[in-house]
Amino acid sequence: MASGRRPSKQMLTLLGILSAQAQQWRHGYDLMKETGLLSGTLYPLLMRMTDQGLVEAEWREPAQPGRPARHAYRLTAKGLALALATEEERSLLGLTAFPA
Amino acid sequence: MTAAVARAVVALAGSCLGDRRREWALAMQAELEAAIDDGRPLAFAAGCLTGALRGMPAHAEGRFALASHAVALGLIVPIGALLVSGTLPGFPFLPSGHAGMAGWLGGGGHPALLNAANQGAVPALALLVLALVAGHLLMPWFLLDRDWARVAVLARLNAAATATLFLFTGILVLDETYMLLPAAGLAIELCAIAILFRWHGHLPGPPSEIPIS
Repeated sequence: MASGRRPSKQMLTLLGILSAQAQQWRHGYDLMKETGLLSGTLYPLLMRMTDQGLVEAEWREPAQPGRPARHAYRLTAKGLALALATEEERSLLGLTAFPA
Repeated sequence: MTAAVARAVVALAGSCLGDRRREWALAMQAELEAAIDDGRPLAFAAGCLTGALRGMPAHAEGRFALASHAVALGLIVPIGALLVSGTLPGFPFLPSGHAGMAGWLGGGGHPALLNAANQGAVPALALLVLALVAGHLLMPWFLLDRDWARVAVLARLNAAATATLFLFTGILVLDETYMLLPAAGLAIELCAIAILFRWHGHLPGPPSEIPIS
């Protein structure tokens, strides 16, 4: 594990959501709704996971004209490996997506 | 209106994140548009702010910002308030019970330390004290703005005003002990500012490139 500590419940939830469609880039607000995490939890978590090399971020062109470019996220190979390694733990905890 | 408040809160969150996380601040600002469309901009913005505030002690720039605010609001502003409270009941720094400046202006007081020989100096000294108060109230502004050139100018002016007050309090045979507290306050303030200045010099610079403008 990147930090040498057990992933938190929030991180396990996010790993579950991101690994479900590992190749797809996801926006922060969509992740909030899917995981049920608040922005004050999700963004620090994404920053930490990016620092640890578990998540990669990329700027994506906006879907609507006149809107700013949006940050999108997906798991790196290391993040995917962690997601797979913690799959059993997630199922034991019953961690699927929280209701939005 | 709600969207405008939310944008201001997200901008504040971005400031708390600091230069190192500027990209994340921009990401939050962009995502706020989605929250506005979803009708929950304030909840999103408040979350971003609490997350940014919680993370401040974890990074060097955040710790510096917290320390700067503590020095500005916990040290310099109280020193300014101390000067104001010393000026209002008496001059210069006379304890309550003396007529002080109010008595001198009213003409009916019985100042213990001011007499016919030295009361002519009161207007000049009063102006000096008020300038010192103004200097102490402006200092937090420049300090939090990290405008070190202005901080240095103001520190020199405050030091000069305090030294002048100290000298003239002696020349006018007023009680010097009332100058000890402001002088000590100024010394502590200057030490704190010097430490903050050195600390700021050691902070990592902002990232040279931001992916989007």
